[in-house]
Amino acid sequence: VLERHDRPLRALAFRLLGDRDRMDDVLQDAYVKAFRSLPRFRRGSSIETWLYRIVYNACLDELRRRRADRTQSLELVPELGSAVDPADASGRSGLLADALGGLAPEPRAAVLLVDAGGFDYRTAAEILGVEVGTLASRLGRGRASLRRALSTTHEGAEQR
Amino acid sequence: MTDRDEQLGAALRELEVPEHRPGFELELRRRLGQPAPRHLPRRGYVAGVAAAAVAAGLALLLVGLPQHGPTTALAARVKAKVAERLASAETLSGTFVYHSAGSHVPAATRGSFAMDFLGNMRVEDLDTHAVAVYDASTGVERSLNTSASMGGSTLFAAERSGVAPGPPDGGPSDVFLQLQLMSFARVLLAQADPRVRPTTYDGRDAWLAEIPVAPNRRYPDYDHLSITIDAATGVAEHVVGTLGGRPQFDLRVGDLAVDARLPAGVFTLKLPRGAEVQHLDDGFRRVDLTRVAAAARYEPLLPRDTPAGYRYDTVAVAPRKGVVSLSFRRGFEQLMLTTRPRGAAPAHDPFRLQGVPASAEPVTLHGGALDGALARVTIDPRAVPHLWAATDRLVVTVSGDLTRHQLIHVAESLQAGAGPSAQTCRADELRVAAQVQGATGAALGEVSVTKVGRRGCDVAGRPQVALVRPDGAPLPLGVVPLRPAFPPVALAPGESASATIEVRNWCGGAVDPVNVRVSIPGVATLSAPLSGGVQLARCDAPSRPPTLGVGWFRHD
Repeated sequence: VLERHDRPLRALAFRLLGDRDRMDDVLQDAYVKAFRSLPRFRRGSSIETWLYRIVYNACLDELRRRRADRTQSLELVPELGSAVDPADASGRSGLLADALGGLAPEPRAAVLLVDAGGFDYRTAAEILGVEVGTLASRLGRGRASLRRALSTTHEGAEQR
Repeated sequence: MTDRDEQLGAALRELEVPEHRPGFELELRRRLGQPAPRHLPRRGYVAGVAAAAVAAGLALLLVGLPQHGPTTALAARVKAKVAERLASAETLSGTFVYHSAGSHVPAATRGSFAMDFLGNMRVEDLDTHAVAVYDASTGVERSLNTSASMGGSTLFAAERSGVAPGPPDGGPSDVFLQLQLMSFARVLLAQADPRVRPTTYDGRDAWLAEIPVAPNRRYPDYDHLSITIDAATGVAEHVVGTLGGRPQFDLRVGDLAVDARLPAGVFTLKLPRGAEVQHLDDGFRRVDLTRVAAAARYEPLLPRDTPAGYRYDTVAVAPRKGVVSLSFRRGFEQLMLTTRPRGAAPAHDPFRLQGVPASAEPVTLHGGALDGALARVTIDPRAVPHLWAATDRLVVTVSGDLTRHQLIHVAESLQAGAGPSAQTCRADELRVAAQVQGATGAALGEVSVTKVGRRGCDVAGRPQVALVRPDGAPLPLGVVPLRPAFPPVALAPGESASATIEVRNWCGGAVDPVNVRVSIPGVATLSAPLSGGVQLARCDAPSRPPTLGVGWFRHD
């Protein structure tokens, strides 16, 4: 199960935390937690949703810890461009990654789950532990910022 | 309704995702208190590929030759062919394309695979050139993988050594995969009348087998298999697994070759110098059968009888845990026997970590070292068929591609050590023959014994062999014991066993005729003329004595 979901979970954790080592640390904890709470997993519910929820909450905990440690705003997570392939940092992907990094974790997670991950609103809301209306609101905020980044890239490309 | 920004989603999915740091999986398993991984770290992808490859292999093995006639008769012939092909195939190779619906971004994997009846395996991703190789003779898996996220030239290498020969102690990756593989076969074999109907595939005549499957209870994976078989070649070219009607995986096989000669070195993988190599050790060591008791600190149990065609393969010991793991093979089938010290805690099924909670049938064993013990037999399409029982000191498992009756029969034939049993053959029950040929300086050959008469009996161990002149005077040969040791051989009427003999450094010229005198541990002493001659051995050093090497009896 972990093998099947590991890549999208890595994507979510990395985009939320912005750092490979932190991603791995959080996923270690989350996977151990998931494994140990398997006996309490409710049959009939989606194991995928359950896994995502554990990972998402672990990421939020990590971000909170970091904020407490460094008195850092949640919005000021590290520049993602520094953690990805240098070739990625320029061009469309780099701008998008930067724009994503500029979002607060909550709208960022909403966009990642619905638009990149393909979850429906109800499932994404369940993962994030919010109402569907709240999810839609976060999604709206997140998309607006990211679309701006994408359209800037397109304009840049056209100007060349 | 869910409104989705597809353009944004596509752009987000293009962003790179880093792979785990080296050692992530190992660290995770340590924290979970799990045994060593079934596949190498960093090769989850490759393992998936291997799963596909092996599944493909099975699908092919399932099929046999083109069939005609009524469905029921067809199904029966297919089932018989499955068993025959699995038991007789020596190599299997080909390519495949595998689609999994397991992730949100469906990805296709293209790969090649090769495997042989000795348990060796190679799987390669044709796009990334990630490769994994398992050497069954040494119990070493090696893999080499490139990282898509960290640059195409970065190599991640891993070496997992000390791998158990088979379940329930992890075993090589292909054992786990063969579990899936074999589950396909078992599912088909378990069907009284599998649904098989004519169809077309890629414009050609084909057969379609529709097989319902009980999904994994905890993590439902698929509940239906559709296997499309090319009618002209008898090859299964397409396998689709679905769950509730939704596709879960889609596998297409190409370039399949059964029993083709594989390229030299196909099961060898040299890790490049300078590559970062992650080392893992599962703790099992291949040893000679005669060293098992010393390594495990108890006398091993050995089967006096195995189903027809199974041959002793290897034995490994995990000295720290005292686990002894014996492997027997028949084509692509494997029979495993394991013993482990029983701890203070209540004994349990060592297979329970396989994650398939199948029911177990209690059976009281009669005969052998486990006489009177209560065994539990599990026959379930999703698990390796197995039996386990506990004595006051040991927990014993017998597992593999066996029927319920065969599992019980093997368990009831277990005896401590490799020595003679109550069923040891008498002299009048055996016919002996011996021959040698010239080979790289030695006169190399074998002593063979054939069972005559009605009842079955055992030969075991290494025979005492002497080469004698017609007057009965033995030739002055220093006897050298040869390895490896083999378990006792149960001979049915007409069957034979043989032991290797080799004469070296013979400087005494031609001696003709020479007779061979064979004393089998137990009671039998037999003699027969030696075909060939000691003079076939090269005289290397006249000042040193000639030698006669003698091996253990093994099943022919």
